Amino acid sequence: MEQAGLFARKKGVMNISRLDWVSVFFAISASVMGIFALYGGGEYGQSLAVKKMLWLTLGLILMLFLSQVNYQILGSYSTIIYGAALLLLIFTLVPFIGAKIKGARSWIRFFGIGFQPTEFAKIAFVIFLSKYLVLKETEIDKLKELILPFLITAAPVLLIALQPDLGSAIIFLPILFIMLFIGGANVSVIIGLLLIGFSVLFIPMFLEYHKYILVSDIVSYLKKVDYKLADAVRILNFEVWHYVENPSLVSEIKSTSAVGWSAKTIIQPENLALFGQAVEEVKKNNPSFFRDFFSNNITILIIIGSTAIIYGACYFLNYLSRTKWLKSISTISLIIFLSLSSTLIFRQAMSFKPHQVIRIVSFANPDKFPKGAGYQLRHSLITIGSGQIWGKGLLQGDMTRGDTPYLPEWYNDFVFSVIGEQFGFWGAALTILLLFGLVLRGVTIALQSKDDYGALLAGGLTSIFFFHIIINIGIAMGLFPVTGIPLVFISYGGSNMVASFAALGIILNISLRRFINV
Amino acid sequence: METNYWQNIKKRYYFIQVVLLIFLSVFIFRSYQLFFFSPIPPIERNSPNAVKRGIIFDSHENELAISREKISIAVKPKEIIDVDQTAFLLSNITSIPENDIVNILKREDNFIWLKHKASSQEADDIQKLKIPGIIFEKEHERFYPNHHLASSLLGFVGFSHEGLEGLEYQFNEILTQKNPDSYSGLNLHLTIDAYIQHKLEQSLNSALIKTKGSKAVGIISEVKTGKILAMASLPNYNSNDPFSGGQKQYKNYAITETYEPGSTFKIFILAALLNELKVNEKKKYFCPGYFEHKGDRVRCSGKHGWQNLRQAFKNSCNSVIIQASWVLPVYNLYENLLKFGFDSKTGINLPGESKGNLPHPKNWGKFLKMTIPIGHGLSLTPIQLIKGANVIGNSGEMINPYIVDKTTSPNGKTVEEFRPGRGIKVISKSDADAILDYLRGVVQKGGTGEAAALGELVISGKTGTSMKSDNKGYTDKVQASFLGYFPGDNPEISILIWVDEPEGDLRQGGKVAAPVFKEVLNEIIALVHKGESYKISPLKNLPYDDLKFNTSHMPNLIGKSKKEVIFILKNQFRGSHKLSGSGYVIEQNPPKGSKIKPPFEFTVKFSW
Repeated sequence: MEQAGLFARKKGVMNISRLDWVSVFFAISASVMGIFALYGGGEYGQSLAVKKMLWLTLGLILMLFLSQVNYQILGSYSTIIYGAALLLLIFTLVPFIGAKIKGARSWIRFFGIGFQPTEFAKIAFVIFLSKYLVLKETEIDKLKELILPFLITAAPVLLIALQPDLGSAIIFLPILFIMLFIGGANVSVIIGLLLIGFSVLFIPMFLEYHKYILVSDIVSYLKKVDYKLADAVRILNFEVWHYVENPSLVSEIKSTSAVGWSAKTIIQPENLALFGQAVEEVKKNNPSFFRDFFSNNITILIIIGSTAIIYGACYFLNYLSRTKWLKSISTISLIIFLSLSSTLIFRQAMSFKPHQVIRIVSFANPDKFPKGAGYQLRHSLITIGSGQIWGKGLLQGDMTRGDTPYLPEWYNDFVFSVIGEQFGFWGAALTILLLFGLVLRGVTIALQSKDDYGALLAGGLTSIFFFHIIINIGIAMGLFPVTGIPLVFISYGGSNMVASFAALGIILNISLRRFINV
Repeated sequence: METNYWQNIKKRYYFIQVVLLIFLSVFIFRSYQLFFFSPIPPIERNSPNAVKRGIIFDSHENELAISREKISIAVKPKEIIDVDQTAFLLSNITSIPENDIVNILKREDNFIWLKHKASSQEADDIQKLKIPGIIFEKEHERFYPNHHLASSLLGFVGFSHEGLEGLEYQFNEILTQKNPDSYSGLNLHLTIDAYIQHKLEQSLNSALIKTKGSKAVGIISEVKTGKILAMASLPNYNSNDPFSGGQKQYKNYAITETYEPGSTFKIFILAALLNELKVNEKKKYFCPGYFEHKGDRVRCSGKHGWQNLRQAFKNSCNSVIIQASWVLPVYNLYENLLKFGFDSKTGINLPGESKGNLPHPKNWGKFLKMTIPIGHGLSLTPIQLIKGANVIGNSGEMINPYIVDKTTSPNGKTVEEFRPGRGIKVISKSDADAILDYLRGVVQKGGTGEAAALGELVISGKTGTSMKSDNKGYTDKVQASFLGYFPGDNPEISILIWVDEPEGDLRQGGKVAAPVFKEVLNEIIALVHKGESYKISPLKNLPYDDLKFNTSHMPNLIGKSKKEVIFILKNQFRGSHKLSGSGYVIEQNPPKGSKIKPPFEFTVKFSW
């Protein structure tokens, strides 16, 4: 490969006018939308909007600069970039360098400037991972070549999870999977891994969720039988399972509050028996095939056992006969076997706290979870919907302004609701179109890229945008579990804004260089 | 190789583009859904606390439970810029220790309540400071102006302003029912009279202290309408602060506690005997101090000797009552008792009502046949007993007791009325009157309920002293009760007083509960006794010989009883007079000594 200079201008063909102005237009329009949303949003909205303009300028400068930097150079320095990102993430955990803001040590401050390395770590991660995938492109469909990508992902994920910023940590995983997919990994392996991960996380959550939504019905049932016990269950609410399953814990409660009283009431043997009876009755009236299926350990064990046997038999027969459909069956049974057995182990090993489960599952039924994450979500949905078709108008968003139900994190995680309230359906739809337009443009640039590295890099960077967009908007619209993730280009968040424009700069460079043979 | 890989990447990208478009359409569809069919209807767009709970009124529109608007202060710790400065300022205003505030501000939460229901002064002061990260939210606070009064009835609300006990629980939905034109729920109007309730609780409380009993119940009801005027259950609690003082019972014993009614139950045996025409007024029975049947003995309170049934009631003689009931076949007796509804709940609109147990005659055996006539071997709740007793006061008609009169909207319009339907005839009026006549003797001199007598008032009643059983059998603990009617010949109200486990030597119903009955009645009589409209007819005998007046001047009637006044007017001052109230004269017009001439026209007001 020919040595390329730091600035491609040397070649004399690069200039601003040949940038991919379509994607730049989408990004800037989205940012302006964000500025308006912040301006009309809640408390201090105006000052947030002014700051966001500053970051827009900074971001644009960085974007223009990076659009002139040959992305191949980024590729050749990818190890250093990735290492530096990890180092910065480690710094965030060091008390005097890392600053603790909003409960997470996600900031670094020096010379009066603070930023969140997490946002840049995502880009560094994509740069490094694309390089690795390109280097391994001929053998990536082998299972063992996937170990390193997972390690590359695990390092920043763990460091960010330590801050702790779970939302940002989790977003690395879909980026990894999409890049493995683009990079040519075996589709059945990806699907298998996704299924295992999904069932390990989802099935226990699903069972917990089902326990929680039964509580109100149990209360109504008990109301007819034992008024006192019904009260106790009602006061404990979801925590009731905690005490019912571990009655010995109640002796540790010293408080004389309603909760203490209720916990002591519920663990009386006769009350426990009555409670169990109520659970059976309520379950009978609320049939759920999946709940009963997954909560029955014996059925699960039988399936695990039979899939293991089928896998062994098919694998052996395939070894003898080399028949393709036998191999497919063995793969499918292996995936089911691994999913269910790891779920079973995970479920025994982990115990969820109600607020964790509620955070994850409340989106499915916010009315049953009026507090915590369900509260946020409920108010997000109300706020969005209150905008109706044309919105209430700039500065008219009384819900985000905090007069009526208070919408937490309106300027960051729920900024989409602010847009919905002020600009209505057309504003929300426009935002979605702008952001998806950018993503689709990114995919097009990836497809037009002259080499595999460019294609992977552009795809990976675009996927950062994409997952931020669908997760953030999906949460605000009640399609996904609630976790804290900013909306690229729209949210108030300097680091995210600047980093997003930096990523766009790299994408622009890939688009610029598609005709240049270096 | 290279091109092959590139082809692969391209294929996958096309796939991704399709996926992207799918996501795009899902998102657009979802926002269409949200904006055009908002999942939460507009009326729901208030947090539950934004609805002001309705007021609970007593029968005179005195407020028993109200909701007040308060401002609560919360912090968003992540938005606090200067922790120490903020803590210092907040501490100065709210008088929460500065260290505590610093700890709150350093917590890793998005939102923490700093002070619930702050005073408006505090909220104003903090609002003026404009500290970032401080939030103010309107909250409603439930307040019970009378604190302990009627707490077992009213119940209390929980942290989320939701009814957890009593009427607050039972009527939670109605009290928080949203109204299109108002943020207040519906109001609840009770039949309870706060004053009567207060007097009842006061008397019960002092009795409980005096007798060292474990709990006490009192119910006062209007026999003709089924209205509950007061229902007290002690020990009670302060509805404003129900969780202080450790583990507590919040039960309303008047409806949840079943007990063996003891001798008060004898009135229903008498009703059965009268109904089956098995009463022979003249017959004399002998009480040797016990009743014996096939070697089993039931003790009596004393050796009463020869008595007729009326005397047996006066003495509450177990032996004679059992002897009298012996003529009645058990199935017959059982059916007569069932008519009083002792096998079912009264259906009073309160949460957690239990029902007693009236065993079926096939399970009676020889023992229950002896004990049921004296109120043992079966159980009732106090409210069940009152419901049955009101049948006798109400000329034999059974009416369900009720405590919630109606609900009204915030602007005062009646929404729903809860009055019970027409009564069911259970026993004949003549039987009912005969029973009352028997019970009048109980309260007269020498009767077990002597202590309930109040002046010259006509009172009927029955004492009860039940032995308490545990799972091993009867213990030496007792439950003392008194069931009384006022006025005794034509009852308006019935009162049940019940004290659980009184201690000391004199712990019979007549010694423990009857005095409480007297004390309560004395306090409330002016309120409950409306007086009757007299048809003035010449009295048969002239008991008041000394009542002779000069008819040219207005006599002084102040302090005279109604009977006396009627007598005087009837005999000496004929004309159209206006008499109102009952008891003794407190006002008269014309004033005493003024010149008068026929036809006479006096206005006289009576009161107790």
